[in-house]
Amino acid sequence: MPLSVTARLPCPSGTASVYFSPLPRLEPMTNSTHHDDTEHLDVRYVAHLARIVLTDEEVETFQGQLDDILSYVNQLKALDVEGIEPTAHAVPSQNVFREDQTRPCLDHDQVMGNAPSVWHGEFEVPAIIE
Amino acid sequence: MSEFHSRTVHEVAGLLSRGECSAADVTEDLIRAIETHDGAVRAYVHLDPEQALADAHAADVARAAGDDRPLLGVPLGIKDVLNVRQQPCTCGSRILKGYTALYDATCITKLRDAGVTLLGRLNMDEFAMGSSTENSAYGETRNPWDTGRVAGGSSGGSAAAVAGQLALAAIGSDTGGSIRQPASFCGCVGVKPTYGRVSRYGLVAFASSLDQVGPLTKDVEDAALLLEVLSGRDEMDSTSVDQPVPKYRDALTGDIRGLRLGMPREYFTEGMDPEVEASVRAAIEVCREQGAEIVEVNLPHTEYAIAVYYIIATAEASANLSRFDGVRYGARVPGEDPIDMVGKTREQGFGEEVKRRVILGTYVLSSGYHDAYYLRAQKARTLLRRDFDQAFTRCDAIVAPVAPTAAYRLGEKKADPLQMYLGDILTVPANLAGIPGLSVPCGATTDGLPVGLQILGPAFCEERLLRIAHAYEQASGGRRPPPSMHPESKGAGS
Repeated sequence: MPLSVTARLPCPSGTASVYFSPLPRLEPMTNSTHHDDTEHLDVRYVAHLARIVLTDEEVETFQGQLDDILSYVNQLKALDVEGIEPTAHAVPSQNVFREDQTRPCLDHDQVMGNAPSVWHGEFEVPAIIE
Repeated sequence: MSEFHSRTVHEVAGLLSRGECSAADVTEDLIRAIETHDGAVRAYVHLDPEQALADAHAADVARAAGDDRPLLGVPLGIKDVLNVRQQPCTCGSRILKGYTALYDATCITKLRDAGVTLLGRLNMDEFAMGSSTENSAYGETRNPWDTGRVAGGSSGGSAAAVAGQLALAAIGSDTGGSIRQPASFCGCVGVKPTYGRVSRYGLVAFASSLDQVGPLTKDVEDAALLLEVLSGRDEMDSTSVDQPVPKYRDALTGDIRGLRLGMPREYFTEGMDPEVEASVRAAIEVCREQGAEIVEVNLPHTEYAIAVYYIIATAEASANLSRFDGVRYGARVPGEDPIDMVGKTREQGFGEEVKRRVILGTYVLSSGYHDAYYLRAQKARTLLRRDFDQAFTRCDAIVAPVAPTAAYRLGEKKADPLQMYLGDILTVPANLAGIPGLSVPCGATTDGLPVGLQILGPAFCEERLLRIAHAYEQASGGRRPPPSMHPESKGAGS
């Protein structure tokens, strides 16, 4: 199954679009450890989707390890799953409802006490929009 | 009378209720044992002796005032993945260094309601990802039977503390074997309950459709005792199931006559350490001598279990761990913009194995690959579940090894994650199927390393598993003496 599809996350519309914007490919896919018969996991690109910065050394280590793992996992392709329902949860459950009641929640100051950066009682982050 | 650390929960609970010792005596003794021996084992990542002693004194005061809760003043160790109010909860990760939990997990509330006091936080593979407790940002835990070997994982700190007589019992979590495998490696009893049996509220999520909380104990009676406390429907966890909670200890009758125990052909294959296999076969023979009938069963999709597990678990993990972004809690590494900040925070906050799994999980969920990996794995999961449904028409419980080997050497598998994953082949199927599993010590290799017998049963049949494990334990001479790191405790087994 020759695929060179670029993995992309959907881009939700709305205010978070900058944060979640689909990013251009960082570099062409040229990795030499490419398995011809399987999809290729471009570590640097997928790490970027997962918002994890990697060093060049990590990219190299992970590329080999993840290629090994993926080629192992690809044995699943030999399994006939035609007509089989997927299992999302081992104990099937429908929507579970309860009364919508107010009740005590966590103390604001204690919650903010775990925050790495606070501004006037709110979580502070670097500017998103100029 | 000072060696409380070598006793079981039910023994200490008995001593306390008869007034033969105080909770403060017990806690002091355990703190002393930890201070003496934990340097070699490194089971604990956080210990607050003053708080533990204050809680013990409070329990003694309550008892003097007539409080007679069954576990009043019994101190337990808690895996560092369960929130305990006002205590650190690091999940073995740098990214949660300095984090203080704001509320009690439901299982902690239930333990407190039963009178339990809390001793400290136990080491684990980062975010429960690992099989050796070498993936902790706070150093690896060592096996009390041989400190050159791993304790198993991810609840390695919990298992090592119990086996090393540094906790009377501990609470862990099991997503793909993380209670049963370290219990097997360290020679203690571990129970992974049916999915939904125990509330996951307050358990930091790894793979939400697989995670379960359960006890690690010195004997089967303690496991029954603690499972009863932990179990039950919780409105804070919509996946917890409203099933009556049996008095699990009443199931420990010693009578397993007529029970049919299935040996899955696929769980006794090449690649297994012959000594492990011999110990497990000998244990099954003991069960047969006790009146159980042994039948062969098939679990034909076992060979796909690791692939299915490492797709589903990493997919769920990649979503669950997206909350660690340096915005609301945990460490933050500054960046030029929010994306840069999040990326650098996760770079420095996460260890190698977590990064690897989040990347894999992101990939199998990503557009263009979702159907080929994630959806296909979910369908294969259905087939794995059906395997067990089929097998349980032919037997009452399944008996098998917990892991293909006994505890391996520190560093032996660390560089090759796939080899590490393959060691989970006998434990992940129960999580994928949602069924309960138990590990009970069944002898040792010639090197003296413990081996575990795994018992699996249909959903919500924990009583049956405990009954079988207890019957085996009693027939094989009771619980093992602890390792020689406590020479004064040799032969203290009950």
